[in-house]
Amino acid sequence: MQTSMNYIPQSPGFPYSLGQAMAHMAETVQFHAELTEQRRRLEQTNQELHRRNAELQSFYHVLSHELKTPLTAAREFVSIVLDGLAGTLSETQREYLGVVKDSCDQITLGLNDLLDATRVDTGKLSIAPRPTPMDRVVSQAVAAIAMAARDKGIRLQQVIAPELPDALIDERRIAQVLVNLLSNALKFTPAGGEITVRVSADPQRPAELRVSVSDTGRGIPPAELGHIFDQLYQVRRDDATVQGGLGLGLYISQEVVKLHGGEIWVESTVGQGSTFSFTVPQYGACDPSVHMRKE
Amino acid sequence: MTHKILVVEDDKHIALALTVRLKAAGYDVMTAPDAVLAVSMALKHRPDLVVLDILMPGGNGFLVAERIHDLEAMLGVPCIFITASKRPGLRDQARRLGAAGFFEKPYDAGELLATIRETLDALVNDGDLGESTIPTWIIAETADEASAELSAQPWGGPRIAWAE
Repeated sequence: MQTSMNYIPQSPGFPYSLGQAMAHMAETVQFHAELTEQRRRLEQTNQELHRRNAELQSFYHVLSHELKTPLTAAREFVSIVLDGLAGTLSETQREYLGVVKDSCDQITLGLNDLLDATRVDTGKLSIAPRPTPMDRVVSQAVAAIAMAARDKGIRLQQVIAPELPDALIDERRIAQVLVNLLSNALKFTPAGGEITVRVSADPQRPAELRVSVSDTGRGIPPAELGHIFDQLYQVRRDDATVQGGLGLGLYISQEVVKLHGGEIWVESTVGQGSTFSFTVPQYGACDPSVHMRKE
Repeated sequence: MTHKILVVEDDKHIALALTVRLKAAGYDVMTAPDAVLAVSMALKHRPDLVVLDILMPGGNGFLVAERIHDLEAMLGVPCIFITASKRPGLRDQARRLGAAGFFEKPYDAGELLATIRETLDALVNDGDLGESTIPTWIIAETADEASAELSAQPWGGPRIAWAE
């Protein structure tokens, strides 16, 4: 919709005749009528966009529900068979069904990322911060990828500074950020490499805790660093193909950290590895001016 | 004593998967595919615990839980919610209803079974099933206070309410 006004009536200046004054008045009245009409159209467009936004949100929720229900049944029956509730399995059968179960989990993660990305786009991603020990969150996230790291031959370690205060965070959301960063690190680190999660207090920023995930992977080229948190951006492999994934993880992670009033950034050297870091508020030291959108 | 569990789930495959799991864990299981049958089955069978889907035809799981709790014989019976929906606020709504657990689909069967076992163990330790001494209502001034009261309970069973 065109919204610019390309004509604004100019005063004829003094002295002016009655005719000039009336012509100016007529132009001014017409100008205001056009302005009012344009405002009405803009408001209408705005309402329409809000309506479509709500419809889109609703569609994604229905889509998620309709896809997750059969996915749950598939995953659960595979788990039932894997757990031996439907008879004894051979090792090969167990291995193949394990692949099916892992694939179901990947689809679930993708669906959740799609929903979260929609929430980010519509400003509806929210958090419910509570005092939380960071070592608990880190341990949960590390446990979530420990098996995959072991299978790939990657050493996974956590270094948590002693006597850290609790963080004021939405535990599930920050765990989601950590799992995202750890999964990326795992994806881009070759066998024999190392991934380290660190949590520490930063003397320069006493109201915050700093969390970082470092890997010894292939690193990110400087040209890609500026886009790494963009929606749908995917780092390319050396053969110019993408590594997989939807390109939503870092985009959502950035928004989650921002909602906590923190920052997220990356440092990387090609051939040596990358370090993704983010900050979260300490419980009791949070700046009251930081606005948090709560659930 | 074998505990009775009512599964309220409109998807027949998930209802069957839950039945297989729960029976293998040694529970008596009955299933209801919608809200209306759920209430009549609760009245007839008086389950020790109810596992509820949230989005179902004919009334959502929260309404079913309220209707079941309205039955005198079912006061304080613990409810565990399972949902495929990511709509914000569902977890808090379940908490306000005093849910013993809240799981998103696809759920982790091990965690679900552990929650069921712990909830039923807490009921047994608290006294005879059906004559629980656990309060049905917690009255608090604020939602935060109510949540604090609830988390101080030995189990998440009682319904909670607070003044606006």
